[in-house]
Amino acid sequence: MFVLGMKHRKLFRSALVYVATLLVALIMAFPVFWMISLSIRPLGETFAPTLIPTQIDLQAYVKILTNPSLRIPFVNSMVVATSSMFLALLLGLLTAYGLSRYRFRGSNAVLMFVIGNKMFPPVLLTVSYFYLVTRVKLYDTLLAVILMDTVITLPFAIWMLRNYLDTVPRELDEAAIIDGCTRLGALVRVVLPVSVPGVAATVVYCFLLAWNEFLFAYTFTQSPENQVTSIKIASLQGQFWTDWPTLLGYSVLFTIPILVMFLAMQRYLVQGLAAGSTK
Amino acid sequence: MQRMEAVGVPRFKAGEPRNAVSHQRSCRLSGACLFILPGLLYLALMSVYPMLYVFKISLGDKADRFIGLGNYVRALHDPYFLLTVKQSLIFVILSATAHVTLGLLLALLLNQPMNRLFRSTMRSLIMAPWAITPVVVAVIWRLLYNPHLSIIPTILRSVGLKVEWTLLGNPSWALVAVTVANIWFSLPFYMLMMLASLQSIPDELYEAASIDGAHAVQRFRFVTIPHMRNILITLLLFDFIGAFVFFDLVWVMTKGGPANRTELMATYAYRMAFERFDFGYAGAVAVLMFFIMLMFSLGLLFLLRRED
Repeated sequence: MFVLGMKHRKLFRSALVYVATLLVALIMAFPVFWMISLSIRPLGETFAPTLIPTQIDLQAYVKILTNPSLRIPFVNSMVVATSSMFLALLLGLLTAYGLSRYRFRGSNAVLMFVIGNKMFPPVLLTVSYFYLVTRVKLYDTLLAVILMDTVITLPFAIWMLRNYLDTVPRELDEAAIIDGCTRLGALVRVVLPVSVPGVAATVVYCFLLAWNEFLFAYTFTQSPENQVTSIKIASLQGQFWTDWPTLLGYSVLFTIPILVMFLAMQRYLVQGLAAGSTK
Repeated sequence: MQRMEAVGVPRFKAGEPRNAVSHQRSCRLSGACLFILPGLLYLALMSVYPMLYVFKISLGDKADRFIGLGNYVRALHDPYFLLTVKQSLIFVILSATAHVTLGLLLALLLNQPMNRLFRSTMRSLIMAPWAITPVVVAVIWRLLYNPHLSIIPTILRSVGLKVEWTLLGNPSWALVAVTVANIWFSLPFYMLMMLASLQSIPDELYEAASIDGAHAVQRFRFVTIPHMRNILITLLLFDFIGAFVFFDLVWVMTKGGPANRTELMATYAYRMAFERFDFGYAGAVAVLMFFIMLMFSLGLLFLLRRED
């Protein structure tokens, strides 16, 4: 019988860990690779495709970048995501600061209320929004989408920012107040500059949530000039025939900026989201 | 709250110099209100009010006439609604089980000693699906499930398996196919949260267990699991809350088809509202969905807490 020595067993185990990790990583990343890989092939090569493309064709990307009706949704998504992110950051920073610095009776209840908002099903909200939006005549406007997206981003912003602000020593604000700052001044001039990592993670996450949002935009915008990217992607899928390279190229362009931001921010994102729940 | 009160120390050096004065309490509360109110008002107006308004909508018929609980009675007799409840349950339970077990396995794997560069590269690759939005997830998996555009049937054929690769068109497989896509794209989130929790376990605990003679399985059972208990419960709840009401992925991938076999409660409510314009019934379905989600989440919480 073949008996492994201690050293060999360790080596074998370590090799097993490496192989298993590599395998898992390849499986998880493969669908993304496949999307990119098919988007850079000529149309003829997308049927019964080989693993590695034999020919590279960026026709789909040229088409997307030169066609205004395909370009506008990117601009709209940018406007919606940036606006919703700023709104969430503004309201979120104030609320998070209040919750972090003033410990009053019921402050935990307020936090629970904020988190509780994440439990409301978006589909349920759309049914109500339909009545509200038609009443205030905001149907088919980007403003409606921005306001609705902020319902999703704001609870996350409050949660992440409060967790971060809790790690900033209170003595900082108090020193600033003694030096003549108001509470708000202390927040803006002293606390904010030292909270950059927390704020950055929040900004990225809120931007992503709004950038990715589908349901509200799908329901409450209609005209092509108000389409956002996620809606355009859904509409590029035909019932019977789909221009796959264009659809995939579009999806890639939609995803790449996010992927880069995600990977760059991964440490802060995990910290921000996991804070308080990993104890 | 920390307070340093030492005789002879000037007041302004204390942690909270002014909070001992009684009338300051109301000042503090009003100060807090100034900061907290704008955000809370926003949520009240845009989230809580619409949430309550649905109840009112759900009591009306197609022409918005009050019919009491008529829509709820109708839902409980609607075979399609009952089908969506069943399919949502399958979707949620399969997803949550896979997320927690696979997420834990992956987290344990990535927590093994290995080269740092290799680990961070692999971690980034595994994380990639997390950055992908549900709409694009739907596109990617429609691609992978497409018999002509996917590499998977080619691979299966090369190892001698003859399969019909039309999962999304097949009523008995479509729901599983959609669930797999859902498992894939949020698995990284669960893995990362569990990895963060694993890394927060102090090494001394494992060392102490080893000294007491615990082998690897026992260390896992008596050190790792108790430590991760809370995060596991939190993640399960999180998954329940998200998956029960999930809409984007299914809508873009299958629109509930083929033959309603991937219709979930959320897509059904949406269809009733925005394709049939029966907002009262859609509201009732959505409210029922919310309560089923709540019931299951609280039930889960109760079961898991009771074991303490």
